[in-house]
Amino acid sequence: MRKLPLEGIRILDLCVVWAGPFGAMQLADLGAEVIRVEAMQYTFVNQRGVPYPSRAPQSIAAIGHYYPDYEFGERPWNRFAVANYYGRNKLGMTVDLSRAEGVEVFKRLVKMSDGVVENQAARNMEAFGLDYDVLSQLNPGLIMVRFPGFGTSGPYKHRLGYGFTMDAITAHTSLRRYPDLPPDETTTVYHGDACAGAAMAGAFIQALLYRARTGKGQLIDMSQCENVIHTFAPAYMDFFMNGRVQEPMGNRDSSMVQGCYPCDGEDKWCVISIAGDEQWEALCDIMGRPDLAGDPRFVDVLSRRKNQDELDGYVIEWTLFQDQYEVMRKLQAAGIAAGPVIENPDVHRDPHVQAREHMVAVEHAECGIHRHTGPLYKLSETPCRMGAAPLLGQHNMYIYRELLGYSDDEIERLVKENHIGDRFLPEAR
Amino acid sequence: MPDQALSHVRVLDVSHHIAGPYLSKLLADYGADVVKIENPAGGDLARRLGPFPGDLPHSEKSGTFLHLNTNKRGITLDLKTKTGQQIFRELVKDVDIVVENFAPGVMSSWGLGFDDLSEINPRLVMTSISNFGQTGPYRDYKATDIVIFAMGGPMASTGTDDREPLKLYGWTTLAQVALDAHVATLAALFHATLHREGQHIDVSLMDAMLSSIDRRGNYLLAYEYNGKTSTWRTAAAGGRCIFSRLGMPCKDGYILFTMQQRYWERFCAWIGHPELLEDPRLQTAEDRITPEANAFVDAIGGQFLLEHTMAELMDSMQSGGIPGGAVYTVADVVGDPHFQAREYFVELEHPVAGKLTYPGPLWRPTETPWQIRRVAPMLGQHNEEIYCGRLGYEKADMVRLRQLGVI
Repeated sequence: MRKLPLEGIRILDLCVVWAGPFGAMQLADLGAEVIRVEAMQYTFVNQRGVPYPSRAPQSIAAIGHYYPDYEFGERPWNRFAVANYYGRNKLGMTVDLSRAEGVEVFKRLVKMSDGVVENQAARNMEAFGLDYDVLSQLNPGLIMVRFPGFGTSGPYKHRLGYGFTMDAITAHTSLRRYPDLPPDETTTVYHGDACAGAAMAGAFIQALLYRARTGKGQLIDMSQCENVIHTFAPAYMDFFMNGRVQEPMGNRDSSMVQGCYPCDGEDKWCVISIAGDEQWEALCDIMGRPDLAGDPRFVDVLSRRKNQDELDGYVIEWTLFQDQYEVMRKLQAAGIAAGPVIENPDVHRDPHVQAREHMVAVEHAECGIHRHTGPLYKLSETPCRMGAAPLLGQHNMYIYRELLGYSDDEIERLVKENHIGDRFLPEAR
Repeated sequence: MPDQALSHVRVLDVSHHIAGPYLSKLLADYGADVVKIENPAGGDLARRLGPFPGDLPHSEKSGTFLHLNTNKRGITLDLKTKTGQQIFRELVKDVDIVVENFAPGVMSSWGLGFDDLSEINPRLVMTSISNFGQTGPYRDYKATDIVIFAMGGPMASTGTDDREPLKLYGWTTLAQVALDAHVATLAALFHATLHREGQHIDVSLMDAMLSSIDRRGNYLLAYEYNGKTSTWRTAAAGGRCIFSRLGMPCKDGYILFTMQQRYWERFCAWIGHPELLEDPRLQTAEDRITPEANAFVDAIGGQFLLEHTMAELMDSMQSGGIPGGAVYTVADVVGDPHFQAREYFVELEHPVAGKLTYPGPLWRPTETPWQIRRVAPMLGQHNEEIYCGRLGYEKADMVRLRQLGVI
C-alpha cells in the first residue's frame, strides 16, 4: 500500500473539547500516528461523554442520542458519537498525568515522538510539568502546538473558554445575530473551533517541513481568538478604515439580494442569492411572475436591495409551495446560486453526497458499522484513510510494551496503579 | 529577517475571491513565495469588495483584498489566450504548489488541468477549491457563502425556532474550508518532498463543511447511531445547565456562558448567594433542572448579571473558574487589553491605500514567526520582476504582451 503523507509521524494528542481533537483528526486522516492520551481518572466535556451516565437520571434525555440505539452499553465511553467521530484513525492509551509516574511515562513517549498538540486550559501543562522547555530538553526536534483560547501569554492567558464564548469575545456573535433580535436570541456557534483545529494541523505540518529542512523543532503558540478574527476581516477592516462598527445583516448580503425562504413542508427552507439583472429576470420567469422583472421597485440591483422586504414577499409566495430541493434544481438550471437548508437525513440521501461517496462505512468494535462523513478533502495519490476511533486504552499494550519497552512486571504494576486500563474508575468525572 | 517555515516553497496562485486567496495567504504569511496571477481586465474580483476607506471604491483599496493578499507578488496574465497559457506552463515548471478555485473544468479547458501540469512538473501539488468538488451532480452548481452553509453546515439548527435559519457573518464558511485546504496542501507538499510525487487535491466546500465540527460530523454520526435528528434552533441550554440559557443580558450588553451543573458551588459564590447551597430545593443536579428551579435561578442570577458590566462579569466569573465571554463589538475587541498586550493588530503602509491596521499572527511559531514582508500587490505590480526576472523576457516583450492584452 502506498504511504500516506504523514506516515511515520507520531503525535501525542492531549486535546480537549472540539477544536483540538478535530485538528488532530485531520493529521490522523493523513497518516500520522496520533495517540489519544486519556486517563481512567478524568475526562473532559465532549471527550468520552459522562463516564457512568446511567447514574444520572437526566442523562438519557440529555445525551442519549449520542449513543447507538440510545444504549449506553457496558462501557459507555466507547459508544459516544463525539469521541467516535473525531477519534477516527487514532490510537488510544491511558495514563494519569496528575501523578509523577504518569508524567514519567509521558516523557518517555515524548522522546520517541514528533509532536505534542494540546488545547487544554493554559495552566494544565504547567501543572503537569510538561512545558515545552521541559519536553524539548528530552527531544530537541519536538514540535509542540499549544492553543488555549487566548494563547499562552497576555492578561487572559488563564481564562477559560469554549468555542461559543470566544465567538462572543471576537465580535462574531454581535455580527451574525438577527438584525432585529438581541444576540442571546440565536444558537451558539463553534466556527472558531473548526478554524482553530484546522489551523493547528496546518501549523504543525509547516513546522514539520521546517524541521525536515533544518532539523529544528519548535513551540507554536496559538490563540483561538486571534486565529478566527481573520475570518471576520471585512468587519475589522471597516472599523480600522472607517471607524465603523458594522450592523448585523442576518442572512442578507451587502450587495446581492439574498435570503432564506420557507418551502413546502414543516420547517423546510431554501436559500437564494441573486447577484445581477440576468439572475433576477430568470427568477421572475421561474416564479411565473415576469411582471416583477419590469416592476420599478425592482428594476436594478440598487432598488432590489433597497426594496428587499417587498421583494422577499413575492419570493416567499412562490417558495412556500415548492419542495426545497426543487428550488435548487430549478434555480441552478438558470445559473442562480440556491440550495436547500439540509437536515441530517437529507445528507444521507443527497445524490451528490452519494455520488462523491462522502459517507463512509466504518466498523467499530462496540458500536457496529456506521457511516461517517468522510475526509475533508480528496487527495488523488494518497487518499485519506477512514478507520475506527480507539476504545479507551485500546492500544496500551502497543504503547507500553512495544514502544516504551516496559516489562510484564512493570505493566502489571501500572495496571494496579490505574495508569493502564480500559475503563473509567467508578469515581471518575 | 528570521527564517520562515515555508521560505523555500514556491506557489503559483490563480485563485480569486475568498477561499483560494485565503489559503495562499496562509502560505505567504509563513514565508512561501506566492505569485498571484490576476486577469489583466480588472484583476481579482475581491478588489471590488468592500470595505473601502471613506466608502470610496478603488481597486487598490478594498479592505477584503488587502487583507487576503498580504505577502504575495502580483502579476497579470490572461489565461484565456494561448500565449497566456503557454506562459503559465513556463511558470509551473519550478513551483511546488498551484492554487486555483475556478469552476471545475475551467483549468482543463485551457490545457492547464492537473494532468497537463503534472507532465510539466511531476512533483506539483495542485489544490483546487470549488463549491461542490470536481465530480458529482452538483459540480457545476453556483454557490455563495449562504448556500454552502445551508447545504454543508449546520444552518438548519442555527437561529431561533420561530424564525428562519440564520447564516454566519460574511464569508466565514469559505475561510473555514481554506484552513482545511491548507492542511491537505501542506501534507501533500510534505509527501512530494519525501517521495518526489505530486498530486491533485479536490477540496469541495460542501464536503469539508459536512465533515467539520459544530453539529456536523459528530451529529451526523449520532444521527446514524439512532435516527434522531434535532433541528431546534435555540439559545436555550437544553435543560441541563444552571441557567436555562447560554446567553443573558447584563448591565451594558450580553454575556455568554455554559453554566454546567458541576459549576454549582462556583456559581453560587460568583453571584454572591452562598445560601443557595443550603436550599433544599436545589441540592442535586436533578433538583436544579426542573423548570421551577431553572426559573428561580434565572431570576436571582439574572438580577446579578443586570447589576454588573460585561468586563466585571468576565473578570469575576473567570477568577471564579467559570468559562464565559462577553458579546463584544469589533471596537471592544480592538480596545481590549489582552489583544493589545499580545500586539495582535498590526499597522501596515500600502502605497495607494495608505496606513491601515490589519489582523495579525494566525499562530505564533517561536522559530519561524508570522511576518509581513510586503503588503498586497497592486494589479500587475510585479510583472517585470517575474516576466523579466524569472522567465527572462525582454522589456520589449512585455510591451508586446501588454498590447495584445495578455498581461
